[in-house]
Amino acid sequence: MIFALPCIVTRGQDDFEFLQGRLFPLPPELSTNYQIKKYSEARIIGWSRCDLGYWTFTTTHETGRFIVPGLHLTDAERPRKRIHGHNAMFSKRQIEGYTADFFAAMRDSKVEAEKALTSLVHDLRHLSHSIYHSALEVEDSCRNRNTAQALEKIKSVIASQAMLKVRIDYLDFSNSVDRFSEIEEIPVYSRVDKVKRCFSSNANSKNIDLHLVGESFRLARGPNILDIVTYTFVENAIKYSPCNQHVEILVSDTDCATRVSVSSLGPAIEKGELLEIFNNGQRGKNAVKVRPSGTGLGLSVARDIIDVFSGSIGVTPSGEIKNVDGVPFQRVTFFFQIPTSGEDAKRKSRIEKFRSQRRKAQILTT
Amino acid sequence: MWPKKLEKYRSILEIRDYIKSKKVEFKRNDLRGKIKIAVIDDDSFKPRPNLENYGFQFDELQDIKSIEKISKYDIVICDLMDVGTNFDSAIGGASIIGEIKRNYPSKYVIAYTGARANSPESIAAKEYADAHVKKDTEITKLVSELDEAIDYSLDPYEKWIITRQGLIDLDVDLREVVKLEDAYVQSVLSKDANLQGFKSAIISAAIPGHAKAIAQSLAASVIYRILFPS
Repeated sequence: MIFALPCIVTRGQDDFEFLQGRLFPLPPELSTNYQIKKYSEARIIGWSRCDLGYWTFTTTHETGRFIVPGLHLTDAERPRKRIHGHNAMFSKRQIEGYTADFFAAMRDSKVEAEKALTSLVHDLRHLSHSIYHSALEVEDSCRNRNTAQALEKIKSVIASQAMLKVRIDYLDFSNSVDRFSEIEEIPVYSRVDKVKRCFSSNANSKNIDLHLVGESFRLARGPNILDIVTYTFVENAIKYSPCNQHVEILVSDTDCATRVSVSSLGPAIEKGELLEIFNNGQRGKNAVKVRPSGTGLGLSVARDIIDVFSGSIGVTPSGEIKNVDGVPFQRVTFFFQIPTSGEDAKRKSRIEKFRSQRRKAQILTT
Repeated sequence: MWPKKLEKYRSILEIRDYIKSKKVEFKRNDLRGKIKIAVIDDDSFKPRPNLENYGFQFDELQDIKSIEKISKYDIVICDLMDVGTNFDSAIGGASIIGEIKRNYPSKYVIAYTGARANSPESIAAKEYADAHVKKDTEITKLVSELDEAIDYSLDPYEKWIITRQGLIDLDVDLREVVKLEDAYVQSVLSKDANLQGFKSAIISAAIPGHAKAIAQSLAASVIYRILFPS
């Protein structure tokens, strides 16, 4: 942890830590082992003075005390001894304000971290139980010697594992961009298709028609984390959509880029929120009404990833607003566009060959 | 010795061991299929196919606007995250569980969650729910939790004890509680699947509407039709 002022953090009897300040260090005359121990033993909460007449501010925190020593106050008695080069001159109000703000920021960051951890545990446990129960279903199908059913169920296991992988990548990326320094050629359409397959079972459970349209053989150059963006879009679309709706994923090419969009009926996004929802910790007002839990991290991570690809990301609301259970809903299309780095020639020729064979077969049949 | 006037009232202690003697007549698998379990979860209930193999029956409800929706179920499994938006969204599903236990105390509610043990939702759910199960818990543990829920639900003694406490908590006159207990015990001992005598006693009882609703929810339970098949 970095502190602006030198401080001593106590966590109990004889358990304390001295941390130098970034704004000014505590000079050796005021930071001998004996002095630090003495500061740490200060029982007075508020202002006190050391032997040399420098002021010490002591306040309490969750598990102990927070002590800022060696201060030359502008609005209180001056130190008895002048220390060359030590010019820590502040008012009482400045120091008290700094510590109050510091602890408020610490509390906020703890709340945010707790929220993110809660969301992570929830997602991981959800995927873990999804894999577990799908595997049990496979076991059951095998016991009944129903191979076709077993193979179908295995797809669910693989899909859940793929979702787990994306969730882990997301976690990794949100903590360290450097982890993904390796640049690859990414077949955009295939990756989108893979994510779509992951969500088939989730969509079915809400009777949502999830379909992928369009075509692209383009490649994009960047770290192998593009799945996270599509994953976030599709996951949100299914999560926020009412039952019995349709979610459309469209992949299309422009002159020098590939565009992926996910369109669904979702909580209406207000004009002022169109950009804001891509900021860390921000969620749409209506989205919160539908799903109170959420960290507001997903779209911000998606934007960071698209930045790495030098692309663009956004959302467009369209159509009429309709009321679903007291919440305004509207058709929303989340999209990203990333520059093309080449073409997946192998896949293109494979698909063209397959299509030509199918055409021939059709001609023969007719 | 009780005063003579009180002696004519039947006590719940008379049916304390009722279920123990009765249970041998039921096979575990038969019981599982007889009590439908409500699941409140924003997502599909993944263990459903596996639990159905064990004989359990479920109805999935995504989220509920009013707890009346679960009035016909004796056992409720409730997710904690992203449900309860129509109640107290700060504690999610725990707010639904709290409402169920306040209005239908004799129902058995299982908090079923992927949330962290120390999340506000989990902490609140532990206060209200009869059991707390993690989403990724093993199937055998899940089965034994549900069997326990069925055992509780089939026990007319346990159900009355909880209902009676609910009535006492609402400051219902103890004389009315004694009358209701008498009617309930008589209905059970006479193997009345519709608890007609108990239902009549509720109607004539001088108790507030909320207390009546609690007693009526007990009378509406399907377990008596399982215990006393015609």
